[in-house]
Amino acid sequence: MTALGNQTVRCWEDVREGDTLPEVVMAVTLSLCVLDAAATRDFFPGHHDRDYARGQNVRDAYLNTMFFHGFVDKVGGDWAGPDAWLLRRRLDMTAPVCVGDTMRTKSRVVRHYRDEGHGLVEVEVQVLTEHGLGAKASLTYILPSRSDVGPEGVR
Amino acid sequence: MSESPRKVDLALKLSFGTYEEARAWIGRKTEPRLCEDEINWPAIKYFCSLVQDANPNYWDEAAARSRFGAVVSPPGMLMVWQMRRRWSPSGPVEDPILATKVPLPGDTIINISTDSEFFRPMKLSDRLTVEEEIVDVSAEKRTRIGAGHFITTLSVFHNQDGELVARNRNVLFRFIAGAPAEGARQ
Repeated sequence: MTALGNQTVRCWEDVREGDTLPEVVMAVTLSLCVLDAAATRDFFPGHHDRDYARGQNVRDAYLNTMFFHGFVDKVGGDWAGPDAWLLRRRLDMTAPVCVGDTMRTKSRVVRHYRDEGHGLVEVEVQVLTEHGLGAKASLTYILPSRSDVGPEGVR
Repeated sequence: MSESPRKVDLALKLSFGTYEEARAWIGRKTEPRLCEDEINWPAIKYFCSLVQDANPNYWDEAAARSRFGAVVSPPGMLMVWQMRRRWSPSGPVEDPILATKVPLPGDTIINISTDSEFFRPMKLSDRLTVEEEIVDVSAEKRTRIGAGHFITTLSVFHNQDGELVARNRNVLFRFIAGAPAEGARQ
């Protein structure tokens, strides 16, 4: 791995199936939901209006899809490094993640393979709360090869 | 299609109808729509502050230039660039989500899953165009939060040069709260 910017570059050759990614913990507050609505321009009421959420049979206001996109990409990207290219992301939201919950991620490499000359990895990220699984994502990255990475990084 | 009797609908502008009417929407596509804003750095930094993403391609111009020639958008913002402001000088703006226009009985929605593929970077000052298509509407399913239908849509994004940037398949649950059973988000 090579230091670059404020993150390290991870090479395909340095990864094994079963490798685990660092846990990320984040508490869900109403403020976070409001920031979520603003930063994603999503004013669907379930994400900021607690009464509306309860009317939907949901415990409280809950985070939106775009939050989970950014959050699982951050979890994967912090590990994969700035030279990784996210090729595909599949996200399943199993249960709403609500105000008062604390998210903890559990992530690992589930596949390490080559395709069309690229070194690829598939990472599974689970977003867990006190109530169980909130969301699960599968992230497929192209990682640089050791031969691409000189002392200055990729290229 | 008719107006819903429930207060809960007011923010959504849902279309109401039967499952048979909804099936007729499968294959319907929107005209290509230019996203409101260009890919811009303030919006990127705001989003990254939400999810606490320190990736230098989003924060550090020199680092991003060395890889992409410009600061790029996080892939997680794909759907954000598609969102509309709720008001413009010509009046209130209708919610652009195609799935809400499919006539069904459900009076509320919750998003279930996405499958996104990324082909090209979204660089500062790029302007995306999006086309949406209704791919499927399921038969009624009973879940823990209520009974309703799953609507699958496909959004395809191109940049100003006509290059394919990304594709996003989205599954949304259109339901009536109550009537509990198993599955779907809770």
